[in-house]
Formats: sequence, structure tokens, C-alpha cells
Amino acid sequence: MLKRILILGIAWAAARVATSSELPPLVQPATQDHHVGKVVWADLVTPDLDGARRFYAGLFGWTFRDVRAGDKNFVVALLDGRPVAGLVQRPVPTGERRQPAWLTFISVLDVGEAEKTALAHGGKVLSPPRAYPKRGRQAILADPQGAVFAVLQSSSGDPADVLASPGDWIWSSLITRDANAGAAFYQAIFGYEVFELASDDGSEHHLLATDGYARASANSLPTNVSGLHTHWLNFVRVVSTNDAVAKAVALGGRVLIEPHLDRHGGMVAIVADPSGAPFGMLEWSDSESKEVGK
Amino acid sequence: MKIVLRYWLIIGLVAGMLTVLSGCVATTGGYGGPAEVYEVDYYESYGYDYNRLGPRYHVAPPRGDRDDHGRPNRAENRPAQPVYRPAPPSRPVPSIPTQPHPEPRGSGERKK
Repeated sequence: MLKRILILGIAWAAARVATSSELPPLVQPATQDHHVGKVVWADLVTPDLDGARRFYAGLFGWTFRDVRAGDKNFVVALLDGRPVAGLVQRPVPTGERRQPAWLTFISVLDVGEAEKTALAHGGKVLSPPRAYPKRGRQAILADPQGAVFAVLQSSSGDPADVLASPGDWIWSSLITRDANAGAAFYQAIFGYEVFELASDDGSEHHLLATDGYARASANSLPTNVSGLHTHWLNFVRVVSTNDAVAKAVALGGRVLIEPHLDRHGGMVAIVADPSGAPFGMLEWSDSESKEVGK
Repeated sequence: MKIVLRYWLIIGLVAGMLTVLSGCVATTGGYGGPAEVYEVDYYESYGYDYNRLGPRYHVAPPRGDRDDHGRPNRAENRPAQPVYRPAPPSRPVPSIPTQPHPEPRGSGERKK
């Protein structure tokens, strides 16, 4: 009898340990290579996790892994077995007009320092620094114009500087009222080199770079645009923007900007997933682009 | 009597051990440790009207110093006194990393 109780008890405990898991490290095996200023992760906050899983699985071929047994509110999205994003289910605050969104995580060496610098330059702390097993430390901040972003000090290192595969994040843009002020704020935190880019529509577009690589852009909103708040927008690399947009619509998404040629000569579009979270899709051929020497 | 006591003592010890062991596993969600919840719950302010940006509103990274039409990617008119430190004019405009990934990572949107 005693032996039976022991065996059952050990089996129960082992099963619990085996089915639980933690948020995976950004890089496996760990490299400890850090690329400050690089967008290294994104979390979707959505009221409909199951719907989001169906949409992104159908569109990009992502698969999903439960972060912890028993928690139905958070999964990690994988592309060919590698973690690329987190999907978090949270109720939309009642009585507020809020919309689901992708939260952009940018690499830092020290979350505490980033927090201090952000505060000193007019930013806000929405979620103070917090450590998570295997992942590292992170905090959620807002810039002075209201764009929300997160800083992440990865304990395993950052993903390598390689061309994103189709289905992976390739680019991020800060859409803001004042690109000059935005560039200054983010330069203070991440040490970006800032390049002023030519624009066809008269608005200011800045390129933010570290380690000789373009990491993001800061784009001023045209003066005639009033219905758009300051925010970060992330782009997934696709093979064909037209095909991807058609598929997104078939899966319940909505087109926010139709596919069009961008400055790199490839097609870009912006869509919203079924719950309304916007993201971009960007074509990029495998041919070489010029890079600044390190 | 002694045997019964020892029996229940062992059962009690095993139960205690299992409780301690399973306590190492959080059950209330999140990945921050026992009983912690992942603190990402931010919803954006409502509203977007991207269509007003128009097709000439470019967001993508450049490929080198010239655009698809051969025009310079870098603006010729820089702000007189920018609030940021601009990269020196001699610096070429960088692009995104283009080295191939060491392993295949999927084919993007699925084929129809």
C-alpha cells in the first residue's frame, strides 16, 4: 500500500514538473553577444489568444508552445522551432477605448540604466524592471510622445545579426509626431547613430542604427494626419506582400495600407489581425545590401 | 500500534516532500516564478488611420545610399540644430543585416 502511494505521488510530481516550462531564452545555446538597440522580441497583447494563434499560424506558419502548464493566457510563437514572439491574452480594460497591439522589445545591456535614462529624458515607466528565469530583465516604458516599448536585457544574448527569414520580424518603425525628438530620446537610451533619410511626402524620416546596421526608423506623422497615435510598428518579412495580404484577409485580418513600393524597392503593407492589432509585412530579397563598416 | 504510527509518519513525510517539490512549479500563470503573472498587459490607445499616410510615406529600411530610382537615400536638407547627434555626413547609410541565417527557418506565409 505504502509503495503504491509513493509511486503514485512521485509520478504525479514528475508529471507536473515535466509539463511545466518557462519562457525560453532568446538564444540557445547562449552566446552572450548583445546588440544594443536591436529589436529582439515582440509580445502581442490580445483578448483572443485562440483566434490569434489561428491567424498567425495560417499566415506565417508559426507554431506555439504553452509557457506553463495550466496557464491558458500566454504562449510562445515559434518559427521552425525558434521562439519569435509571445502572445498574451488579457481582457480589454472596460470603459476605455483601447486596442490590441504588438509590444516592441529593444535590447539593452542594463535595464536599470535604460530606465533612468528614459526618465531623465521625459519618458515614463509603465512596468518597472523585472527579472524572469532564463529570459533576463525587462521593463516597459513610454517615450515622451506616448509610444510604448520595452527594454530587454537578455541573459542568454541577443539573436545574431542575420537576415530575417520569411515569417520572422525584419523591421520596426516608430510612427511619431516629432521624429527629431523621438530620435533624440531613443539615441539617449540606445546610443543610436541617426541618419536623416530623404522622404517623398515632406515628413521627417530618420534611420536609427547601431553596430553598423539599421535597427529601426523614426517617422514623423504628416501634419494632416490626426487619427493616429504615436506608436511602434513591427514588420514581418514575407516572400510576397500581395499574397500575404490576401491570406491575411482570408484569415480574418484587415488591410490598413494596401501593398505599395517602399524606398528599398520592395512591397510593404500594413494589416490588422482579427482582434485589431496592427503590424506590417515587408518583402526583402536575399541580395546583398550595403552596410556601414564596423 | 508502533507499526501504524510509523506507517502514517512515512506517509506524512512523503506528502510533505511532494508538496515542497510541486511548490517549485507555479500554477497561477506567468513565467516570473511561483504565483507570478507575466506583466505585459498593455493595450494601445485606440485609433489608427494609416490610409492617410499615403503610398509615399516610406517606412522600410534603405538598401545602401541610393533608392530604387537612384536618388540619394540621405536627406540633403538636415535640420540646422538637431536635438539629436546626427551621424557624420561621411557615414554611408546602413541597411539591415543581410548575412543568411545559419539554419533554414521556414518559408514565410504558406503557399496557397
